[in-house]
Amino acid sequence: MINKQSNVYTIVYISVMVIVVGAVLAITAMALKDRQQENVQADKKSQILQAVHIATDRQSVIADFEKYIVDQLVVNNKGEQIDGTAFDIDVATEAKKPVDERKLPVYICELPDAGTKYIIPLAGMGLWGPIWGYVAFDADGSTIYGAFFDHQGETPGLGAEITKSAFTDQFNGRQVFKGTNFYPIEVVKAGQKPMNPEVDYVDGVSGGTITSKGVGAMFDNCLSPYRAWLEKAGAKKGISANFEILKAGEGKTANQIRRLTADDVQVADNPGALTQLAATISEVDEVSADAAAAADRTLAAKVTAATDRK
Amino acid sequence: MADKISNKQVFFNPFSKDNPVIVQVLGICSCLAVTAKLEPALVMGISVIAVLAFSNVIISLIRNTIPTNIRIIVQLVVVAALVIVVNQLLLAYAYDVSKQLSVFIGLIITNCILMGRLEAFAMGNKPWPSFLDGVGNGIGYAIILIIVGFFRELLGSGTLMNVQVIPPSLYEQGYVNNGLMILPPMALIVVACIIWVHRAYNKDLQEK
Repeated sequence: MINKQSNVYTIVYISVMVIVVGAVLAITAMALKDRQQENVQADKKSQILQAVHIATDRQSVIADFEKYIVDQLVVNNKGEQIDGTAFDIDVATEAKKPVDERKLPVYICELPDAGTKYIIPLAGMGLWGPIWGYVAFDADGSTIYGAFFDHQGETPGLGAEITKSAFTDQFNGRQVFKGTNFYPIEVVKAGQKPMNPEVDYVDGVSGGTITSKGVGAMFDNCLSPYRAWLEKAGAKKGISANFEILKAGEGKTANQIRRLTADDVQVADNPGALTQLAATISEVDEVSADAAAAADRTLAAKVTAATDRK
Repeated sequence: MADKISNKQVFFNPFSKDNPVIVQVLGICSCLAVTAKLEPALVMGISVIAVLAFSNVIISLIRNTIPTNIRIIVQLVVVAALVIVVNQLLLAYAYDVSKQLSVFIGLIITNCILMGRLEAFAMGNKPWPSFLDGVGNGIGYAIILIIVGFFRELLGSGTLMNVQVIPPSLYEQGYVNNGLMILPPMALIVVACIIWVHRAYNKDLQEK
């Protein structure tokens, strides 16, 4: 009979146990890895869709994602498109990098009844661990269409309430651009107002102050780098809006025209569209003669520049 | 000695007379953490039943080979491995549930009930009674979790399983959810109330 109290027995026993347990765990992890990966991705897709108020289940999420998300871009903080796969970017890691090194994913969503939406991922810290979310903007690049938040381990009933519609619905319709100023939404204690009255804000969760502050910080940190891109995206929408306004001949549009022409030539990637816009503006130049003329000149110059570059 | 307790007693005693939470006062920590809502309390209860039953069986099977001086380590390794397997299975087959429980699944490892039952029962009994003991204690733990979760969610959030049960008309008349119920201290107080009621009915458990 072996002496069970001997050191040799103990060491052999523990070694065998460690090897057996290690092998069992490794096999389990490997066998389930694909399924888990699928779940993680399906879950991410369903979260993205929840930002635009589409509820899906595990079965239909992949089909729905294909259907509504028409494009995925990666941009930098100057608003230029860069290489990369938006879906594979780890937003939490990016959020810790300096602003000008970040890769910023954007999901472009086409809704049959509500038009184009831009979905931007967010990542930050709550009280106990990471929090993250997705925020969907209207085509103007400023108005929030919907928001979705999730967390790893916030207190149920307190910080965890950020996932509830009572909190997320507050974001709907808030704007991040006030004139030319960019203010990521602030989260304040219920009943209070932010220091700057111009800023759009939402009420935090009572009893979940640190988590709420985390949401505010997350907006500040993750949304700010998108400013340039959102401006451009909004300006693109601005062109078609200006078409409408100019055609309708409503009011002075000098400022709107200046804004879209004062930006750079990437406002419209397509020189043809610019020519067309220039033509339209001269057609209706009686609406705001000098602005249109100025716009016309700037656009013409830019069209030339863009054509030269090609 | 162990043979004198019938399997039936092994299984049913932990429900009330020998309840792990309110009589042995084990596993209080997770009782505070996961009971703000009923649903995580329920899933936590089920997970503990599973882990406790299997770790009891495994330890009972190898009980005669374990060197006495490292038996706690062996127990810990078995429990930890099982918890990881359960977590992996949940991630693969019940992703939403696993997301909800998040860190608490990992915390099963530190649940005193597991170590308590392994050390007190599985080390000295055959696999089948050990299995019953594990399931019984797991259920005893789950019952308390569910009772606490029920009261905390009902009074703290006005919901049960995330379904609104307190009618909106009551709120209009000035009823307010008790925010204190959501905070951990109230779990302790609810547990204390359960112990109080329980002892009032089981006079033999009252300390002199």
